[in-house]
Amino acid sequence: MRWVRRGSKVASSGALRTPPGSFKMRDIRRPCFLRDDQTIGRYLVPRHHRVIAALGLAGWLCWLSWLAGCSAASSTPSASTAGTAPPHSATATTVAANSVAANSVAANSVAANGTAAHSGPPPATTSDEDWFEDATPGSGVQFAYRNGVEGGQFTILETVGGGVAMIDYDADGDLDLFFPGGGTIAATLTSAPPALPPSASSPSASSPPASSPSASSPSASSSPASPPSASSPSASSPLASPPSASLSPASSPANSASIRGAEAGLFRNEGQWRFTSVAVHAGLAGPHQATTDYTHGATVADYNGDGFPDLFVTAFGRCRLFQNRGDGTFDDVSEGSRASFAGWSTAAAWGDVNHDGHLDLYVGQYLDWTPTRDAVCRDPRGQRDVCPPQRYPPAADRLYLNLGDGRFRDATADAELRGDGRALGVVAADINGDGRVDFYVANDAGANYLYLGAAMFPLADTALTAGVAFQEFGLPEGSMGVDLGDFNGDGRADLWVTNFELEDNSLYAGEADGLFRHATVAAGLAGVGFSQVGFGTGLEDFDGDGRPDLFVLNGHVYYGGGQTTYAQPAFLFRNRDGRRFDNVSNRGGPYFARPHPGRGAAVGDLDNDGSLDLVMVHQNEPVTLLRNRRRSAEWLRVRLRGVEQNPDAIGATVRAVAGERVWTRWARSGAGYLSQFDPRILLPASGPLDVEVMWPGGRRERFPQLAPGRTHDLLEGTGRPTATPPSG
Amino acid sequence: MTSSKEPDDRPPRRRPADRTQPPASGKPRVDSSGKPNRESRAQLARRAAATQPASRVASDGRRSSHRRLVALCVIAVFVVGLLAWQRLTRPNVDRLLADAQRDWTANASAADDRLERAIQAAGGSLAVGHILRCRLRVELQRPADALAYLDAFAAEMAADPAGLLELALTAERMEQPAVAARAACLVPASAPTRLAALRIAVSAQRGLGQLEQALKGLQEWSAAAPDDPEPRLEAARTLRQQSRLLPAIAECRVAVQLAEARVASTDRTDGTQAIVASALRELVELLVTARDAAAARKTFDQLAAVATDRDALALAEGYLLRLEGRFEEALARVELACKREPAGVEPRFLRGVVLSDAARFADAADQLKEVIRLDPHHKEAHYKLAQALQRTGQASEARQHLETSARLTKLAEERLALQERLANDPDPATFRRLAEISQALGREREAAYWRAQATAK
Repeated sequence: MRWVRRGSKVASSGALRTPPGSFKMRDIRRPCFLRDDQTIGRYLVPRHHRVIAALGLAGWLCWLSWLAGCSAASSTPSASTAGTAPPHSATATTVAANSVAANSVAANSVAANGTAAHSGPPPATTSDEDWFEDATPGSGVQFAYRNGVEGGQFTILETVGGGVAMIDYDADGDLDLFFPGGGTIAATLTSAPPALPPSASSPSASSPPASSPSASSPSASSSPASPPSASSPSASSPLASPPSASLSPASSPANSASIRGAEAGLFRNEGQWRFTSVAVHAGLAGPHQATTDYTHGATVADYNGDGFPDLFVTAFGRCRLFQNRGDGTFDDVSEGSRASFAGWSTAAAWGDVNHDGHLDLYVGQYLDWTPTRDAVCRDPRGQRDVCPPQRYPPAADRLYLNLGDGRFRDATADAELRGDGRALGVVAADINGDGRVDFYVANDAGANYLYLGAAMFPLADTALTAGVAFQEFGLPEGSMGVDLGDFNGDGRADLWVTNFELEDNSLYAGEADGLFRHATVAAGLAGVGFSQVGFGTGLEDFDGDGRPDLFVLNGHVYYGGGQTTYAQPAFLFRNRDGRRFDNVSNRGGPYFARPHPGRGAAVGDLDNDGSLDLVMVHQNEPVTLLRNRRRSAEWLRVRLRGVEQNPDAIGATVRAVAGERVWTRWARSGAGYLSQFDPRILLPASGPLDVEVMWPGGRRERFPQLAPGRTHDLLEGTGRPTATPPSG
Repeated sequence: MTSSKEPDDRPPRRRPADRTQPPASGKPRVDSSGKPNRESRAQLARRAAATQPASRVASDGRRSSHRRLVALCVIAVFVVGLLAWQRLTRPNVDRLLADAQRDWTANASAADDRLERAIQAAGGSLAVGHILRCRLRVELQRPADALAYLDAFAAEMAADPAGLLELALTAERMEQPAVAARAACLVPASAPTRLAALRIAVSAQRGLGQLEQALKGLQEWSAAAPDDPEPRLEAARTLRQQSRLLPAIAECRVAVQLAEARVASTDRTDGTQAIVASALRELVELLVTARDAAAARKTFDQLAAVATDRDALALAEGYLLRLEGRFEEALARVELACKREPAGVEPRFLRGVVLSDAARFADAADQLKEVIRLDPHHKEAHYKLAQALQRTGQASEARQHLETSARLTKLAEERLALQERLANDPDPATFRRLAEISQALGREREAAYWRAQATAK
């Protein structure tokens, strides 16, 4: 090494190899020698110059003081300018940029429900090869989920979006559609913290947030909650029960002054792809609903066994249980049933956990977040955007036991549910084939859960040992949508989970001994969707060959689009041979050719033609109905009716045998993303099928020679179909 | 000028207090004895002086000037003498530096002392002296002291860009990336050594996880050398570290184009062809990581065409074949990679993974155990081993590895969260926790860095 000083070689040496501590060096030993004033003085003013310095000291001081006075006088205005004006201007720029960002998103969005119209380029024509065609125009379904982007607050609440529930609420044999409405977020957030009941508090919920940027957040305010608005719960909703004090907006994290719920939509299926909006008449929309909870998802089941499906709606605020009165209207029984709480519920699923014949309720919660805890985040480009969920503590899921008398009991503590997950997807079914209903929970940015049904509490999370908690190398993913099916025809339940960008969607193939194998790569699904954020999904047989296919509805959570774009195209995969999937999105139809800010989606036979249709929900864009264009008479549908077990037979397994081919299907609840699928089970059938049902509890019952081309109601214990629905 | 021996006819002196108020009359005042009083004597003296001849006045002026001149000369002589004395007694900077170099290996303390004296002798702003003192601390493995020194004398050191570059190189060689990065960043933008310093800074910052700073440096590098594929390639690697795969792929594609353009513009094919291969290989790895099998296959074919040693690509091809679901072919390539790199963790891990894919769980377990022996903190290997053990009936052992994997994963997550928190809250406790976590994850260098940061704070 050469030391060169002013062009002359001064010295050279190799690397010093003296071990540390073998000598004492005054300056190095000193922990912070630079703070020693005396030493600094010695460095800066050598001793032998002090005499000269002293001679000129007075003059220098005079000159310096004069100079300092002049410079101070001249620099004070500029210093103040530099100290204050840039931050202000930067703030102004940021706000302006945010406004632009919000407006640009809002410009592509729908201003209000009911006035939604299709946006984007005109749809291309559907070709003969296409699997789906857009049936929305002329259907009468005009609805858009609102996420509150127009408030420009970039809250994480806006990311979750909404789903759709297929519910035959009037029991006419046609699937009707219920859409949670979402909500609006004011430009200035104010909120009281959620008043959680003591039993709901979890360690994570009571812990402080991971970061506390709210104090510096311009978008957050710690002012006390505003009083409820004058338009809070009223009797204008015909059959809505008047809310009690515990259900008032003031006790909800969604404060009427800042976060308001948007009206939900209920569309009655009139047949022939015609729908009528009946939400207000049914008591699911109106001023009452519009001023309370920011809704997300819904799940359907006949929890009270009266023969009519009931509705549970999740929300930021209060989740609510609506009892179907059987006359086309719903009754809000949230208070009386006690199956309601303030928090941030997302996905929910029904299942008889304790085998008493009554459907219990699993409610997934996302985050312990309130507007006052909102953080400010920016993307790598410096633009304000939504914060990732890791910035907030998770909220614990809940389990409510149905007491059978219309009331529920919070059994979260008894079940010992984990409290460290951020649930976005839940599916309830008999996953391990033991006759008990199990719950698989897809968590965002963390391990997924698998609660296997047991004879008694607590419920054990076996996801890690089963191999369904993480991706293939044991790393957590941001999981959203979830479904189960038997993609490889081995009779075991396989699980399918949609994930965040830069993560493969996960296909877990069921194996013996309750284990699962990560099969994404082997199934040819690696990389497809790696750039997308997957939400709504379904593992269903769209082409009628008996092998479950896949669809994934994508859309980013960051308005800036993360590494891609906010709106993303949906995917459609065809199950080729029970081992690999082919990407057939280009044959899906015009819908699959365009990007969408997708969220929830539901699968069901809306026109009862034996093919599965789709309903897609987007952020601030109109929902889309996709009609399956496959027409064939080679199908058979069963509707399970539990007698000893729960009325919807959730947790039952159906095996259909046709020669050497066997198809397995599961009666499930809560599949997809924040959505409810068609509860009926569709099977391929070119001729009569022998169907075996394993009812919840494990009892097997055989229904022989069911005729194809129609829907069969299978009543538990009868051994034969009881009736044929009119439209089936 | 007056005295009590003055003749009586002289005008009396006037009291100083009354000098501004002459008596109302022109006559001198007398005291009780009839003599002019003191005030009057002063008045009389002034009158007398006014009536003295001019020669006497001039003589007095010359005497006064002479005295002043003498005084000034004395002072000048004193100052000149003082300066001469200082000049004579002033230490020789070059000699001190040479002495410091002589003492460098034998007595570092003495070397540091000499350097300090040299700096003092040079007036406190001897850039090379400061740089050498900092380098001494680097070589003594005292990165915290070196960092503090750099912070304190940054302005002085910036005067010697070449010395700063030498310091950065030394710190890089001594595996002190924080010092290397800081020293390299001090090289002024106008210095001819700036690009070399940027290379060091970027490399060190990437090692430290300071990826945003590294990207800024790479932007500057790219702007200064727009035709150079190297900063683009480094940017791709940095973005990959940030898990920003898609921008990384875009940068890497640009790097490939620049490298190919460079090859096309020159007859040389040795070094330039190597950068093409390097960029293509990076792109293949990125595309495999991004799970884009089709694009990765296409790029790999390009790479195979320019690569001189096809077997060196065995590992990359193994990853690609696995992504394509061709497990048996992947296994054959990975076997080759393992042979080429017998002690390599990555080929063995991939072999274990592919064996698991092929349902050869016992073989996979053996292979993954070997990986863990080589790298006990390999959380992915723990997880895959647990899965293989579950399928060979060794549930309890599998459970242990699952727990280890989960623990390591949780630590890795906490590490990331703490690093993010540091941007807003550089708390010493956070540094200490990061040091603990890095230690637990087997990242010794990183742990040392965080410890140094905690100490410096």
